[in-house]
Amino acid sequence: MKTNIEQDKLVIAGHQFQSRLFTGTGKFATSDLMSQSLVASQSELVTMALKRVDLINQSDDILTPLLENNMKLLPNTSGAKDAKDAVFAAHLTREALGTNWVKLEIHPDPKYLMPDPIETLKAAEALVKDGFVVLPYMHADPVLARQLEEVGCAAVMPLGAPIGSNKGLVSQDFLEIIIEQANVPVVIDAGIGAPSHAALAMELGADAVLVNTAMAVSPDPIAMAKAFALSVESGRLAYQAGLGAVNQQAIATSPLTSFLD
Amino acid sequence: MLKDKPQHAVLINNNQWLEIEPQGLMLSAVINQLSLVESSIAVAVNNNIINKALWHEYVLADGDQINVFSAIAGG
Repeated sequence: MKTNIEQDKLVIAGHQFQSRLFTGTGKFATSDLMSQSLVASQSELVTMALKRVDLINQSDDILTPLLENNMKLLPNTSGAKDAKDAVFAAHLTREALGTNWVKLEIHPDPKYLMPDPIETLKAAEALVKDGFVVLPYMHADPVLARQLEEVGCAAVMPLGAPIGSNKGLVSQDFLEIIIEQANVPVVIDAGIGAPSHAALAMELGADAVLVNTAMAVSPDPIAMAKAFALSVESGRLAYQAGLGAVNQQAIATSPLTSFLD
Repeated sequence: MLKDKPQHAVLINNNQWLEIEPQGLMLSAVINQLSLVESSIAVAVNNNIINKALWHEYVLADGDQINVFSAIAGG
């Protein structure tokens, strides 16, 4: 058992990860703070978006610090409103960043950013055929998770709660079903607002979590990144060790022999 | 960069016109002119993505729409 825990590695599409904490690059106050936080998180897979270049005010170079720290890039298709947009966006990211890994996300509604299941499944199928390693952001829908797996997605990324909401695992019961049924890694994405949420996801048997907002908006993102790294490691270890059964009634920890008799 | 279309020009990122010679202009020349980090951008002409290796042989014509994309922070 001990050996298994020590050898515990996450593999997605043949790529091995030491860390089960994936991170995003959004919302950090500065790109310097972003790269320091991501290094502190020990994350090896990092998301970013793609946008039309602003020719007047060119934005900060976020790629150099990520690549210098050997982080694998996971560009997303954020901004895509349907499958057609997402497929185009994925091809752009492959051309721009030279990776065939893509975080497929299609959320037409800007208020709750709920992923569109029908368009996501359509795009996933097309992108797998085009040779992409597809990691779809999806609702915590066990049926959809299976369908995405069947069309060849390398992992599934069900949400805990709406993106950036920090609400935690409001979808817990359905995440548990997805984890139970999945034959590909399950990455809990979105809504994880505290290290305790990440630890819970890992204790439930998730293969990894993706955290962005909770780190980026903390007054001390570097310390928060470390806290998440510890919680993910702790939760994974607890899952592997095996949690005790939950009981309604007390079960004594100490012998109940009455020593005063 | 111009807001109104000259006689021979290509449209960049849906908002800027770049004047070109009547006989056309290489895509690679436009990219050079925009001083972008070539290694991490993607370019589409009329919504078709043009691979970096082909920029030096792709001749732009009057009215072509060029969109240039690069990575930004995101989750």
